[in-house]
Amino acid sequence: MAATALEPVSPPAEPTVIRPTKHRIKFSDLWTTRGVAKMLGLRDVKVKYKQAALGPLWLVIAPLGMLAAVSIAFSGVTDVNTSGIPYVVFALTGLCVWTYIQLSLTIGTQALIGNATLVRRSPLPRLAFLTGSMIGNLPPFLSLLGFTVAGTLAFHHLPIQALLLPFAIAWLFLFTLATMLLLASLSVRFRDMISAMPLIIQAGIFVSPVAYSLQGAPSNIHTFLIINPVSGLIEAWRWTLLGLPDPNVPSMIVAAIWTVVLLVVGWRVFGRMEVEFADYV
Amino acid sequence: MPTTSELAVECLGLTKEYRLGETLSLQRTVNRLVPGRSNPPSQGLKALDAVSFEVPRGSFFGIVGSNGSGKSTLTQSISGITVPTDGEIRVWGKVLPLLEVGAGFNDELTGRENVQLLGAILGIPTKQVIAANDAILDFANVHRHFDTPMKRYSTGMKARLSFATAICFPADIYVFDEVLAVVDDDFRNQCVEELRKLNAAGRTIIFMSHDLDLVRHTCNDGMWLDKGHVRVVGPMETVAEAYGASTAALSAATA
Repeated sequence: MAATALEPVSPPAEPTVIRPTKHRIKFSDLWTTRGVAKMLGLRDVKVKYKQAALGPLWLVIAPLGMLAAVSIAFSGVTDVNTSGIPYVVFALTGLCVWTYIQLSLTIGTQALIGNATLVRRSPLPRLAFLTGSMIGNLPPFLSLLGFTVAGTLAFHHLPIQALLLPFAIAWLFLFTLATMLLLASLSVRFRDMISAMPLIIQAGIFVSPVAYSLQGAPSNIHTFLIINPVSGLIEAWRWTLLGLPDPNVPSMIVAAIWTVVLLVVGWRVFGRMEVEFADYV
Repeated sequence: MPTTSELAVECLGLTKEYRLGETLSLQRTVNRLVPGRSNPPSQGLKALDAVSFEVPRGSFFGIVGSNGSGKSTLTQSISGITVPTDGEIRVWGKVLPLLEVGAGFNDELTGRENVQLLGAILGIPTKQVIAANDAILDFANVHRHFDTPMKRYSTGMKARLSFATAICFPADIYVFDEVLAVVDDDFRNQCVEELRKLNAAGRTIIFMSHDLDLVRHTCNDGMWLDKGHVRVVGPMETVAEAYGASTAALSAATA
């Protein structure tokens, strides 16, 4: 019956020793837990479309609906200076970056709380819940990326630097991992994070150049927009995918600094708090 | 006295302290910020207090104790989930914990999808999980429901499926926390039978329950845990007698 379980095993001569510790995470957890992270991500994707008549069709409806909304609000009401790029693909690129960041702020921040039973009842390295959430958030992002590339081919042209797209994606993933390390850990102890996120999300799309351009923003709010790490990421993506002729370099440098600082701080906070997750979640 | 290599688990002065009361609230924040106000000192509770014992390799080890005795904290500690406040645990080999019925299962997913998920959480490669599907199904006897969302399962069916999944995979030490409390007698006997087979194949089984009869008839060694302290440790019969006498005295006193 339990055939595999009955195969002979030879337990190790040396024991694993569990002692009081303030730090037990390893970088290698990222790699060793990839299998279970994939399963957790897959679970989130499946659950999202269960008992839904349209199911995964929402992956097409949502991006197009959002594109229509921002087109009316930003391009329709105001005049967006897109440096000669068709507004459709200009906005789609912004939505692509923003959607993934937004999902990691809402769903990613709850990656540990949402898996509370498993945090309390399984020794799985906790990093898997974050990377699992990043995998689970991929479908809407990939759908938007598909629309963006298709739109660029149809209404514009892909520049040579589009070959650098993997790096732009890697940067986006690193940035979202960094914010999740910090926010998901803090939310285990401070549930205030959960209440703060809708505010940040709703305000975020207005204070980031998702559907408008950094170049066209008035100079008095320019500095503020450059400090926002989302601006630099979007600029980099627009330069990569659309060949934006005049990308704002300072904003990209600021976003790169944010990414590194958040990764270092996030990793330390996560590592420090992780040993107590099972006690507080 | 067994040498260390003949052990599966060894706990030395294991202590786990939790804080009582709420840790955060607007009231506490105000108390902290406003001069002249302060929060009452937080009190600690030692769920485990200097617990030391050994689980011999290949034993069927029962742990008994009433609610709040620290059994679940102990299973969480041995499985490497919660970090001890003090002391040390040594574990020889892979631990496979099943600490809650249906933990890791998602109600929206089907039985099949959940078995794959639980297998991955227990650290089993996907191919091995799929290969074990039939064995798991046969054991849990939920064939007709395997592709039905788990929200339409009964509690007993969930328990059968999680138990069946756990014992179909190899480990050196299996840790069970009160997982047979909700299943019927037939399935419980079937599980005990299967655990005996695993045990006969050299696996160590740590079985936690407050069902004294069950533990008495299945385990050969054991321990009685009481309010975070070890009361008795040794052959199960001795442990069960002491624990049984104490609970009998308690119910006589309240009767």
